[in-house]
Amino acid sequence: MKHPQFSTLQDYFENELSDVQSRLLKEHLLDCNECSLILSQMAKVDTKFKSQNLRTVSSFTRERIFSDARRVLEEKKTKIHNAQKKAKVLEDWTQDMKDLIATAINDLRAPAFQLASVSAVIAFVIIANQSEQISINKPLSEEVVVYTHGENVTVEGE
Amino acid sequence: MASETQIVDRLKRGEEEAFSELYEIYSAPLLNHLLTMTGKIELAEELLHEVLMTMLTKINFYEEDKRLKNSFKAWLYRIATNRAIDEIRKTKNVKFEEATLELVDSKNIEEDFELIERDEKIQDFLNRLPLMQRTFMNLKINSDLNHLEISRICSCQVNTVKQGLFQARRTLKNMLLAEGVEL
Repeated sequence: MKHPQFSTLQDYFENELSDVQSRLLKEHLLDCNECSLILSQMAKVDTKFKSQNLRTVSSFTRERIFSDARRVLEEKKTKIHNAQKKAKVLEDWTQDMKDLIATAINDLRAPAFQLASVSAVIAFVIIANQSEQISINKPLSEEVVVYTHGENVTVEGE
Repeated sequence: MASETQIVDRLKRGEEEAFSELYEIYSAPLLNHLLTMTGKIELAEELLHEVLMTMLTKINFYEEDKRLKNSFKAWLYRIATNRAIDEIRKTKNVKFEEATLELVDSKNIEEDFELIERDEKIQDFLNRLPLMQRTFMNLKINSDLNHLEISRICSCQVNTVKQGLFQARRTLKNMLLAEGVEL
């Protein structure tokens, strides 16, 4: 019979094996007295060395711990409070800055719009003027028929 | 009942009640862990005080490790173990406590004496182990931590923990057999 390694037995004893490995080892233990004995000795050794009398903290140390803990916690609370205050100030300042920037953008937006409008009008006038000049200078290549008082007058282009 | 994570969160906000709850859970096991490592009750109590103060000041740096079943416990024991190792390095010559153990509500003096004798013997066996093996045994048997958690606490590999526990158990078994204890 092939025995598992000691480390595997120890892992089994300490519930560190996977379910599958654990099941396989259990099956092995059914037929193996040697491994069962090792496990039983492990349990006995551990039981012997499990603290029989857990020491408790003396009242003097307890009082000292709580007294110092109170002081540390007070300092911590003050720190938290100050940090919250700082955060609030920073938040308010950030909001103020945001508002300020928004107002500035709005203030700038009106003149910018006006400037853009004027520019657009000027550009339109220039373009219109140019196109008018073009149309004036454009040679009349086609026959233009003008109806005046029912008479047919033919104007010929250049 | 509030989970440990909730208690820790409350402590991060500075609640004294949360500290009391954690103190009730951990003060005695931590004291015994420190006692196992240093061997002196006065020193163990002094270190416990320091460990708990460190816990309070550093609690905001603590982040839960999801891979560990007892993440906070491992974090706290790591602080304690490191502090105890520092102290042991400083003093070097640490002997297990010589003082008799206080036993409350014992029925009679003879029974007390037997218990003290047996406990001292066992403590003496444990004290003969190398420091790390002693620490592994204590963390495993008395604090119910797994290999991974012990490896995190002692800053070593999981295999080192397994090997250490194996050697410690073998040594203790041999000591008990040598004393005529039937296993």
